[in-house]
Amino acid sequence: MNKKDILVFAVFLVVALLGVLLILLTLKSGTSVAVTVDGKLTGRYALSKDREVLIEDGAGGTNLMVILDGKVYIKEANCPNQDCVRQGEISYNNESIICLPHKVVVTVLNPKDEGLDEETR
Amino acid sequence: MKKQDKNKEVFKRKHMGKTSKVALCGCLLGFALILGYIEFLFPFHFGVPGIKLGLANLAVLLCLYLFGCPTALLICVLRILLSAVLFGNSFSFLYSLAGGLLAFGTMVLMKRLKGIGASGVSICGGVFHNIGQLFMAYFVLREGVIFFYIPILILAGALTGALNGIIISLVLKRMHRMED
Repeated sequence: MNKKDILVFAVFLVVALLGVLLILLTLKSGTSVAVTVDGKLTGRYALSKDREVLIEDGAGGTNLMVILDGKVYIKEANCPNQDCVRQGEISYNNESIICLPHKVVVTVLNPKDEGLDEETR
Repeated sequence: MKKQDKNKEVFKRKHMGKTSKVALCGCLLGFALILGYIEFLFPFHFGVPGIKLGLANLAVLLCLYLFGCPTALLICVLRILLSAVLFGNSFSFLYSLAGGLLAFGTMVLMKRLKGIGASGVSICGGVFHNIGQLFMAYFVLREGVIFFYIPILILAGALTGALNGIIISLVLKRMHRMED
């Protein structure tokens, strides 16, 4: 690596670290989780209540979402890549689990931040 | 010693016939596919999906430096197409294509800048591959929340790109030494 290569690396490193810092400084634990399939909201669930939810994409695709101790994870999915299962637990505001094949997005939210009341089921 | 002589011959031929260029390009494409397959067999998981070493980019980078832009673009597109057919899923093709093409574009531009070596080119390639994939994911999912992970993807792209870049600089250095 010559000097300019290192400069290129440093620029990306600084941008990325600033971004990480920004995320860490604004990190809040979530209170609810929103599930969208193909861009449509299919359900909102409170993180305070442990439960299992089967998410269906309408074309045979399923993801089994588990809410346990204020954290969310995908326990099982019949997608080919299993990225959503491997991603593990999420619990902070704006964190999300994405299943690309099923177009499923599970996002942890903090509704107080958005000015919404807790209209969770 | 014998192996080195063989390499020398292969490399020298790039200045010669069209046939040897086609053959070497075929080898590079095969190289890219094998590297892609190795990554498919032994994936590294860093928590955020979409992060990988991008070893297949080694072949594209090498081609970019040996034969220039049009040939490298061909290898890049063929690699993505064949990987998708051989061991990808139909949906992974779109993401690879978006990432691959954006990465290729930035690599070509970066290569034109003076003083930027293979490492710098590769770092930009790594970062913009991840950004391209992220934008494709946004167009498919329409979920702005995925951009939450952009700093981690930039960081990962820069690190894996640097790794690939260092490997390619070493390879090119040896190839040029053989050329003399």
